[in-house]
Amino acid sequence: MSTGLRNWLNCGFLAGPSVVFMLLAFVGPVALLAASSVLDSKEHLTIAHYWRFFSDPQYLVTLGNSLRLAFYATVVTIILAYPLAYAMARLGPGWRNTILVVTILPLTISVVIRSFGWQILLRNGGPINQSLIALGLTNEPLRLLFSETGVVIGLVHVYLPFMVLPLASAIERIDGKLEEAAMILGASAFRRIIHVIVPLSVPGLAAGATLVFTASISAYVTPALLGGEGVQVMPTMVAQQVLTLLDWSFGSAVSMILTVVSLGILIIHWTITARFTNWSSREGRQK
Amino acid sequence: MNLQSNAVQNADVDLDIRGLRKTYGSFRALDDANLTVQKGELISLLGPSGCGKTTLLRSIAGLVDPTEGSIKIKGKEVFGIAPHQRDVGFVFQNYALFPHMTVRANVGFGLKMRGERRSQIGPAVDQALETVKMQHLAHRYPGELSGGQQQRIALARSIVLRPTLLLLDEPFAALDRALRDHMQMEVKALQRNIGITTLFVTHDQDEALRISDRIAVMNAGKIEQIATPTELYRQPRTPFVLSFIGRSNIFRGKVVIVRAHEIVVEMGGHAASVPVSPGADLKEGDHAMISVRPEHMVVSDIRPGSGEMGIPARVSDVVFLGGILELHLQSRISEQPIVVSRQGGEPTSYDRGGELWLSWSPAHALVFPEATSVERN
Repeated sequence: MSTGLRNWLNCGFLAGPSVVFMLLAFVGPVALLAASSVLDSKEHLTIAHYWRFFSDPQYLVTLGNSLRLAFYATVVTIILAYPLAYAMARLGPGWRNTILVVTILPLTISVVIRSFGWQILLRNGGPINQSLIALGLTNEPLRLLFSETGVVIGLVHVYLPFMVLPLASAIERIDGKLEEAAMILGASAFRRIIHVIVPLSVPGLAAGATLVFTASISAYVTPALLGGEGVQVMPTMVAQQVLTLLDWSFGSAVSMILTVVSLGILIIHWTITARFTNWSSREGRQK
Repeated sequence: MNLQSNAVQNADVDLDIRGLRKTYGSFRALDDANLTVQKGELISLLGPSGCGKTTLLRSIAGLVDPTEGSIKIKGKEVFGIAPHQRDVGFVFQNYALFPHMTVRANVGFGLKMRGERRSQIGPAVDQALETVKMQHLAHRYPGELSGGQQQRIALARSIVLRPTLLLLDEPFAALDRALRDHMQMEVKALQRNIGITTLFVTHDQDEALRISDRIAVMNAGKIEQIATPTELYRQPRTPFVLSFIGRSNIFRGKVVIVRAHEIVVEMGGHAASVPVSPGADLKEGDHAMISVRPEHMVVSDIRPGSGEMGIPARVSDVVFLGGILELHLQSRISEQPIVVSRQGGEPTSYDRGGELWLSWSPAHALVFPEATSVERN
């Protein structure tokens, strides 16, 4: 037996259990969902469920809500994550571990408990609104809970580590001498970030953005508990169709649309990463 | 040309460092460093790793904040001033080119940051690339270039801003031997052509000797001696400089006579007379070391007459090095083998185990107070 073939068999043996698990737990259900989304009650092929979704403005608004909230959550996490990731990558191991623990800590608490916590903080008479009123920044309480703002705050809180960690590891790989070189050449701290750190951390940024966006767009508990009735998103709509209205076929169609959107985001991620790092693929091609 | 005495005239001084100190806790990275550099000079900072040479260079650039002292560039105090306001160019050991920018964008980066107009950046970048003969690779990325090419781009990126000082941190360390020799000569030619005052850090004495106008030998945060390569070789002021520049035979002994211009040192039963070196403060009875370069050792197979110098030695090895023949000798006056080098000469004219008599002209010997730890080079 050739070594190549033996390697293949060994890999197959090692990867086998997870392949079987993925087939049973992911590919199978998605295939069933896909099938159920294109069948009517008499088991005939139909696109009626998709047609229903795309012809009703109310459903399109829901899709828009999902995309918008995920986009906001991603943008806010990027803004919050950059300074944290930079500090993690450039300060000593002490700071690094402190930031790591503080960022990851929220993940150790159940999403339901965390959301109830935010409900207490964000409600009209809650500490945040009381502080804002006491400081004179606003006269009446801001509508934070059961609004898109509340949902974005909740999403950012949960998914910040998914942005910080890939960004920090990308920044860590950037040679500190590049920043010194830029400094001597006259780049201010801000321009060093814009011209050196950001372009060279695009792979980490794209990975983080993809994780945060896809996780946000498919989040169910956070929008349900912090958005309430007023903020309808795709996952809450799926739950409503399947659990309350028992319309499995339409629920499946909505799920499939959500899945396709997430896949689209992945494709955009690959395109962006490839475009912004085309210089690195040329490395080693010396003449 | 005596560059030391020129230092008195301040008009042409591009860099003047006085009493520079840098401490990290109790460690003194720089300990009262003083250095004056004339316009157009190429100075190397030479020393073993950890001697403070890189700290000194980075202090001049503003990448390290010294604890105290004064750094004047063209007469202007720059202590505490931001790096880009110091009018210096810096070439890093690994070149630190921006990997995501083309060669053009790398070279133009400094001008862009200084807010130059695009119409002015283009021609300036072209000219800098022409100076380093790299116009044809302007649209490549650094990752597509060889080490030597990257170094030229790093040089172009610095000189395009026309700085007063060009600072190079171990610029040739990452290159292979053949390319290193070539780039050394190329950088020296470039430096002469554009007449830019240059400081470079190296731990390689050959490199320093090859390209420097003057060499500052550093040890333990101090500059031990600043002089031309020939002066350093012929008149090293401290045993450290002696051991760092070129090879020497070192003999240890005791001072027996001190006269006005001459010191007589006794070693292993033989007396050697040496002229009084500046700074060698020796009294009768002091321990002293005498050093003689291998090419200044004289060997003879004829027993010397009385009153003449002649130390018996035995040939332990004959090493043929092409243009140079090296004899390794054993003698009572030295525990280490004594090295004698000869221009030309046939290996067959010396026998291993043969008896010879060693001597040297007093003018070629240097005497230092006994140092406890001097590594042989």
